[in-house]
Amino acid sequence: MAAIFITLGVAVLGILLILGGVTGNFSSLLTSTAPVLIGVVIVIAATIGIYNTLITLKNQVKNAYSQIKVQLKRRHDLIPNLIEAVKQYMNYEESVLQKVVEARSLASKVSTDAKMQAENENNLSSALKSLFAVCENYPELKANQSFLSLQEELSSTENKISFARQFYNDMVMKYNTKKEIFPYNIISGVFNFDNFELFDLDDKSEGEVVKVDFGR
Amino acid sequence: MWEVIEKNKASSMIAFSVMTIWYTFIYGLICAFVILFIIKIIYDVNDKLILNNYIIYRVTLIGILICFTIFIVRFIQLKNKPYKFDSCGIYPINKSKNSMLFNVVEEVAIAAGVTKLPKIYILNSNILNAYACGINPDNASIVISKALLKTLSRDELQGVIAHEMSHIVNRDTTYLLCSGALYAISAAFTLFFWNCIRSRGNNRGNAGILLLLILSLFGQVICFILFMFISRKREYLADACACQYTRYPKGLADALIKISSGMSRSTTEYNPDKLVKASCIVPLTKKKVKNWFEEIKSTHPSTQNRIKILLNMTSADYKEYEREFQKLNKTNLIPKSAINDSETLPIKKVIENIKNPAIVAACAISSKVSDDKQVQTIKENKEVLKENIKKHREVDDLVRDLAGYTVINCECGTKLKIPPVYKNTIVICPHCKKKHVIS
Repeated sequence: MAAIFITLGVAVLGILLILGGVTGNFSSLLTSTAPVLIGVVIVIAATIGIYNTLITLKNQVKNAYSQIKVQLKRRHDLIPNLIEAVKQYMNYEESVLQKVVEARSLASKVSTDAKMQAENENNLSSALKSLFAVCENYPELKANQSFLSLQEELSSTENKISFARQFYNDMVMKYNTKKEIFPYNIISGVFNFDNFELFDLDDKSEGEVVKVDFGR
Repeated sequence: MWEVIEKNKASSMIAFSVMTIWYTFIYGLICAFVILFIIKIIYDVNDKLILNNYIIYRVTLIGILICFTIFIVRFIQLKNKPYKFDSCGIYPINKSKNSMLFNVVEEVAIAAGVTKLPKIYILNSNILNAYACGINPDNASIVISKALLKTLSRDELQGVIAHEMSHIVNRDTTYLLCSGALYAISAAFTLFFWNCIRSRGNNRGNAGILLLLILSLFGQVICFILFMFISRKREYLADACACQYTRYPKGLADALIKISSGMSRSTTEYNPDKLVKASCIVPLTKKKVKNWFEEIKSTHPSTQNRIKILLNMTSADYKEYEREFQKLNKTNLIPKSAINDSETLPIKKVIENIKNPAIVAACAISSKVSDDKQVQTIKENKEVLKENIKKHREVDDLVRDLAGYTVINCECGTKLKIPPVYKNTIVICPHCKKKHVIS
């Protein structure tokens, strides 16, 4: 903000001096031209300030979205280690392991459809949940240090994914609301700032029934 | 929502500006008096010559400038004082050994939007406390005690870390440093005048210094009250922010309950810097803050009040926190302009007493499936059971009839079945104790 004002102030002074030198009449400059120029400068500075704020908020939203992707990728990378650690103990749980592996390969494919991607990630979440539920039945596995640390890492990654989604939604709310307040809505209309969508897909998958076999 | 933080900073700034203005006013005057006194002594001028407006204004200005210089010097001194992290048993964590703590701090950093993770230290002590230090968010650190790490569950730890993180994000240390510097200087002034009087003995010129001492003392008391007020307000704001980040106020509430009961029972003493004491999560004393008079003197609000507010919240946003705060304290915490636009944030669902979140989630989903079926089965079974009991009773009555039992209907609803062997004429109902005659 300060830099903007300084440059514009210097520009105003420069223009005034040049005009005064050219016309030879400094006093009329002070009474008529200078106030107009100062008014114009204030409007320009305000516009620049508002535009910069909106751009900063927009970039924060994009940053928050990429943070979600970072956490999702971290989960993809942790899963093969988990499968390796679990395989040696759980020979008879092939269906559950298979489901996790398939869900992971589907989710890590890069696709342009955001909704499809989110759905794949939710499927991976539920597959992981059923895997961990089944692991409860294997006490030797639960005593294995590498499995425990992997479990901790994965559950922490799940938390981080949900927090990253929460932060993204917060930022989107902040940006969307700010865009609609009075001085900002003019500028955003002029420069065509778009609204972002909230990340809502969580709720639909919670209602799905996942078959978990606690029979043993 | 995020505007709330900025607006609350603004309202704390008002309290801070009041403090600054008060400090400037009182101590500017004091400095002005001192300077006038010195001029009078050095130049040996008449009183009337000095006491005209021209000199008074300019000298007061000089006095104010001197005060500000002292303040800035003290502030820089306090800012550059390094935190003693190597002594007092504070050491940085090992990522692999304390992976849960590290992961929790990372999670809260994502929720709070903090780009650079603060450094984490563990205090090797039995007390249950945690604090945050750092002038700006890029250079911050969080210290948590070993005993606290062992006693808290993951959700409670998340609440505590969120509270500390919000201290960092809201730059509370800077606020407390500025206010603390003002208070310290006012105390120094008072001490200076007190020492002057004591060393001078019973001289004639004591009246002037006594006046300055009283003025300085008055200024110090007001500075003290304002400092404690600012500190308490920031603690409440940190609680509200922690709820906002974790969306689970009960976690922080449970942690506070554990900490406050642990602090009252603890035997070890821990005496860090005054500034550190102010940014702890719970005051480091065993006494509990019970009434209004004690609360004015303490840097933290009463823990019971904080727990009450947190437990009564039905949603996890600032509006709800403000509502509960007003019910309890009848004053404003967050300015209304900041919370009018904020939406209601739901509290996330957590099933307690189970450690692994993945298992919890699996249990939640699976129990949803079997719940309905179970309920239906139980209902059906109840119907069948009632039928069976009815049939059983009918058969019983038939058998007794054949065996020669007499049946008397008591008024309380009990059917008295009397065997033929019973020879008495009177029978007493076991429920209402009424006597019946057998015919």
